[in-house]
Amino acid sequence: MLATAAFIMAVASLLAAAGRPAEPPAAARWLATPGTRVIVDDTGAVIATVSSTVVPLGGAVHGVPVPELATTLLTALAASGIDPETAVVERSFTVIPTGDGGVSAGLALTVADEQAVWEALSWDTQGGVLAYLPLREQLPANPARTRTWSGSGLTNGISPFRITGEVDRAEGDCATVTTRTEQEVPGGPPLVTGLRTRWCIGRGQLNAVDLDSGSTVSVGADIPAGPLPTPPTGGVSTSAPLPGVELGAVTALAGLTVGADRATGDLLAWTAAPDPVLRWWHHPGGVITALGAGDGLIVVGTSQRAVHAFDALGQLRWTTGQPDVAVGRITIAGGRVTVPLATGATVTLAASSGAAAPRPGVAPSGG
Amino acid sequence: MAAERGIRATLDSALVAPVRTGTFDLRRHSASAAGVAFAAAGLFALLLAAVVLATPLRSLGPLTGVDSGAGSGPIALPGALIPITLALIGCCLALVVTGALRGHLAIASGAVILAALVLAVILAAGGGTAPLSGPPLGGYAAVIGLVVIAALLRRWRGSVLRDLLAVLIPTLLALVLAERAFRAGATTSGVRVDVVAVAVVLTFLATLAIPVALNSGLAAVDVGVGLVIGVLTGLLTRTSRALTWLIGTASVVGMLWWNLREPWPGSRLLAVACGAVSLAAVALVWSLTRARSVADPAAVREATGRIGLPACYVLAAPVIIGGVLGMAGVVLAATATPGGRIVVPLRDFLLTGPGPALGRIAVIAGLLWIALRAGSRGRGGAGRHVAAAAGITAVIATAVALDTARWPWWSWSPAGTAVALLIAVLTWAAIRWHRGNPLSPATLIVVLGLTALLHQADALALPVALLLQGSATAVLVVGLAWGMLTDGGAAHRRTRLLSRDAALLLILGNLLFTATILMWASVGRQPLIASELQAATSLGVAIFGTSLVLHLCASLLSRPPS
Repeated sequence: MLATAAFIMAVASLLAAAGRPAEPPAAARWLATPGTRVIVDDTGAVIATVSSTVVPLGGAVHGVPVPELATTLLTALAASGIDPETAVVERSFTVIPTGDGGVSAGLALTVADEQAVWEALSWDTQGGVLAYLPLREQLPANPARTRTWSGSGLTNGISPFRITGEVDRAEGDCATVTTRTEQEVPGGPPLVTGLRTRWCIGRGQLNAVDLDSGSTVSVGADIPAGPLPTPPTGGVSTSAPLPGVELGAVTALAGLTVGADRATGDLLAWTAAPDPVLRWWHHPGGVITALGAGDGLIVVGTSQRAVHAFDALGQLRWTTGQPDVAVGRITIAGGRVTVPLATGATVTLAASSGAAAPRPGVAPSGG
Repeated sequence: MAAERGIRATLDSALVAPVRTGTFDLRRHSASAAGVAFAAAGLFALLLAAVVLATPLRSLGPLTGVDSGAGSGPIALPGALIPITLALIGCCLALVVTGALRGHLAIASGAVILAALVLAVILAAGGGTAPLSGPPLGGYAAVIGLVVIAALLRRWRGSVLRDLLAVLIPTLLALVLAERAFRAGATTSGVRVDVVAVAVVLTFLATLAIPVALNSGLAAVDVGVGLVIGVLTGLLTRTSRALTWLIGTASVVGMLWWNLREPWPGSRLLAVACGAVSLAAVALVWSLTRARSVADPAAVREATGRIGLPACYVLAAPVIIGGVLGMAGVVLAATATPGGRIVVPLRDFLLTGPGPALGRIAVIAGLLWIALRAGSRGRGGAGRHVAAAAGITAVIATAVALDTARWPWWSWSPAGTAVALLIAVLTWAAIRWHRGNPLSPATLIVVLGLTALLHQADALALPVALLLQGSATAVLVVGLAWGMLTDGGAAHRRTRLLSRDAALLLILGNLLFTATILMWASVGRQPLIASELQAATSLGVAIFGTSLVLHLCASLLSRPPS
């Protein structure tokens, strides 16, 4: 009997390891719904088009799809006393207006737990690490007028910083908060930056205003209708294409190199060397299992059984689900997208909409 | 009605009889062993169902994706597949060890060492950079516990169920700890190392399933042969002469069209010529073994089945040894034990160097030895059939090996051999007719049916292939199912090396293990493992299936007129 009980416990333990879904924490409601967002400046010009993903940590930090970010996050979580078991992380492209009227930007992690929404940046415009340790508190879980908070830590574990924040306005599903960060600079006066950001439940950060310069960026604007805007020329610059990227499949479209990061599942598009500029970035979800380019489209298949098509500007054109994951090389020609699936079957989609398209007929042989 | 009765009668002898005589007879085993066998058979059926239903199973929930940069490319599989596969591997190991403990000391020792090695390599893969700390260390302790328990059970043997549980507990404990180590590694690295590690380990473990996959090729053809003989014989012995001739003519035309319409690799003329040379060698072996006087399809199928599985093991021996060395290398490297560097070149020699070719040479030499031995000793029909089966298989194995070696003057293919056989059969029919002892139309049509099977030996796996969208996997599924139904004969008799219960558990463990690997490859969409198993099955079809068909054709064509 004892042996039988032990056997049943061992099997149950193995099967229980199959996965435990985590309840999202309270502050997670402020994160954006996963999807594609356009970031524009004061004049409405597109700065970047990005997609964000929300990953429940659920007891395993390996839910974060970027090893480097996961390591940063683990360190930051440990320093901030945040329980990863009860946190949800959003990966997104953060755009921060700078004092000179420009913008700096980087890939960011936004972590939500029961107390607040926290942020850790990973890269700045020069490819340097901008990890805030401990995490910066961006927004309380329950923002209320006159609510204030403060924190301090060491940026990258070296330079001390202090951050203070207050809720300017909290009405309905949205809140506006102001944060000021004072960063010590060796041999010089401290660098003070101020940001006013607006957040809405389920939509994430909607805009950010630099308090010194007044420059503004808006996140989540509608995808411009009509003719596609010209890709910006002075966008986000980084080393080629980003530090820590493990490139898998690579293709090219309209002068851009488009590659899949094997480890993270990111899709990156950048201009050619010697001065590569990251043009756009997406995390379609899971890892990228198939890639192809043609007819002005980049088409990717993901481990989540989805096929996404982006244009040269990085705008999502369509998404479609498939019975299984796409594998290998996707071909796009003659208005048709041919996607090989892991089942061994091949599906043909219309390049314009992603709808199922009839296979091209075999031309009758002449003679 | 008469035709229907005829078909039923011949199907009974061609398909039902092999199952009746070859299936596991649980009444000959202890109640405990019978219960375990029943449970294992149920698990086996579930696994084959999972293979057939892989696509809907994958669509039940989210997939876990990881791209390790390994040759297999990105992996996307259901998260639950990893613990389920590990648990199934544990069950297979426990079955094999429990069975082997009831056999000869050498078999028992080999099985325990293999099980310990498999568990150690899984633990080593989960240990990452710290294999001798935390959960992996506890897992290694469980492996040592397994070895100790096995030694105790060898001395104080109990019921099969008690012994199985005693082996299963440390085995599953080691796997649970390995799973915990995988998860800990994933947490610290940010990468799903559990998916990558299990995928790598199963690539090595899959080599252990190669013999059963090879034999599945023969089993699938055996099912096809049974159906063709059963249906055609039953139908033709009860239809009018005119209809028989009509079917015969249609068969010949259909055969020609089928064989010539598909593209062949290389020159068609060379393929047909090489097929003819192979047939001449087969005919020579056939006449030398003097099997003509005892033509009997059932005996031919049984003889080929008897030599099939041992030959499959010899053929796969270099790959199996290479896989075991690969696992040993992983364990040695992970535990920083000296000797790891010696293992790698030896492993590569066996897996990617001349190893597979050596396996083929060994199997050809072994088959020739069996043919000579059985031919010289066997005065009865069974001995002659075994000699003929071994000799014919040696000829076809040589033909396939020469083709694999890419000799410029040699190009062997089933289609080329089928065309050569068609010409030979029609020529032989004309000679027999000219001599005044013509072949019966029924015999001729059955032989033509078998010739068609030669071209597409796995055609009868087509219904399963439609479900699986891959004919090679379908052949493997059909072959495994047929093996489960007909391979039980070895467990009916006690031998010097194995008791009946031991044979039962070893056969079940082997079949269950292959089904587990196939399930992992299908549900997890592991193209490398799937293609490896499918290549083995295709090789089994090419060598053993072709030999069986040619042997049967020779047997039927040499029948005296009835």
